[in-house]
Amino acid sequence: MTPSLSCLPSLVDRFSIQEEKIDLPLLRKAIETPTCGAIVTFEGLVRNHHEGRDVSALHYAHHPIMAEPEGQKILEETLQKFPITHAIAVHRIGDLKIGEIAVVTLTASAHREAAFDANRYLIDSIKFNVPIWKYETYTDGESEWTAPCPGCARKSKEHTCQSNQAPPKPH
Amino acid sequence: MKALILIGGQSSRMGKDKSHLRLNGRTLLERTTSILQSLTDEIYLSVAHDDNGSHPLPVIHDLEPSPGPLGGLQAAFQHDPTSHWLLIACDLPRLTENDLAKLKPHPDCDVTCFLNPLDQHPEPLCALYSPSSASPLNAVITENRRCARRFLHSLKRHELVPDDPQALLNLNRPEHLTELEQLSQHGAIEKTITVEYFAKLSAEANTSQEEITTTAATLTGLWEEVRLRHQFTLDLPHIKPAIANEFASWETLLNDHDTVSFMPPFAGG
Repeated sequence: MTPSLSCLPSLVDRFSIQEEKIDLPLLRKAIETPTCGAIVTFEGLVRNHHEGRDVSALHYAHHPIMAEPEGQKILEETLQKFPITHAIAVHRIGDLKIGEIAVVTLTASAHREAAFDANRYLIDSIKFNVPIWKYETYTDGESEWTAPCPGCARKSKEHTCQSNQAPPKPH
Repeated sequence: MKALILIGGQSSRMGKDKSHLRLNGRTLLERTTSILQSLTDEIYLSVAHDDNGSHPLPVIHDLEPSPGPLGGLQAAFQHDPTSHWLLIACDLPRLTENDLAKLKPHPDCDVTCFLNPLDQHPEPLCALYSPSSASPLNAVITENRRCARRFLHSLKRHELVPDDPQALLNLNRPEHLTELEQLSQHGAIEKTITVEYFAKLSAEANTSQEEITTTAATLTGLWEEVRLRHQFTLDLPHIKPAIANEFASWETLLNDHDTVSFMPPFAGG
């Protein structure tokens, strides 16, 4: 069920997990304030391939008690670390179709730089620190719990080491 | 009967030679030597073919560079082809004299060995090899098939079960030291733990939750126990543990009735 407009404040500065489709315009409206001059939105979509295999369906599972509080910790850390006004993050669980939004992060700030930096930090940290897992079904009929791809694993290490190395190649 | 202690070289996971690791004031090598002493007078160290260092015990040199544990056994049989050889790794800190004394030669068998109670596999690096195993040993080494486990499987075995279910727990990681120190300080205390598995782990365990009675002291000991029980394909560094829904370090002590979550690498987004 889509939350009504009167629920908007409860979305702001929250990390949430939901089975329902992500309502992007609603989130976009919720984060906006008169002081913000920039909003950065990242949408993570369900793609139809993983490491060379064709994906036909995807299921996300989570730790039902830990996932939301861990995500919330990351979101609050992001709010403290960057000069941003607000942040919102939503991750879906359950069965998703190709092309649907699996995760979305929004960051708002007075100037664009902070919103960009904060968004990157927020989405990377969510991917590596929130207990959520992906179960992929392939067009050849096989299915499995997938490990994070090697590029993501590298980035996760750089995060924890706070290293100044060049960013990994896009993958 | 003669004994050959495998002291191995650098352990990549430990970052140093394991035989020098100290547990309760003794090195693992000193401990292994002491539990062997009542069983045999002739204890040798297996060392590299070009090792010229000084050692506290007589040594048997490998016949070639890096031949693996089976190469050590081959050199031992060359040293004395008529003796039974107790091949023993030095990184079995839970193994007791009591259990070790059960390894006796058996007529019609090439080897007397333990079945690891945690995974039901015979253990090749704590086993008594009879002279009849020397010839098949030479054959597998000639063919460059150096897997000790596979070699053991090919022999006629007399299999035993050690009294301590964790007797063959081997020390591979720094976290294991904490587990062992806690066990020796406080003893093996039985606890009931609810263990939750997620994603790939729940698929491999065929359950997402189970109640386990364990004597493990820390999260490390519990993980090694369930890893062997369910034949998990992921190793400790890839797993994140939590107690009562809070991430916890591997050294965290377990208490009776704890709920533990073991989580494989996260893959959100």
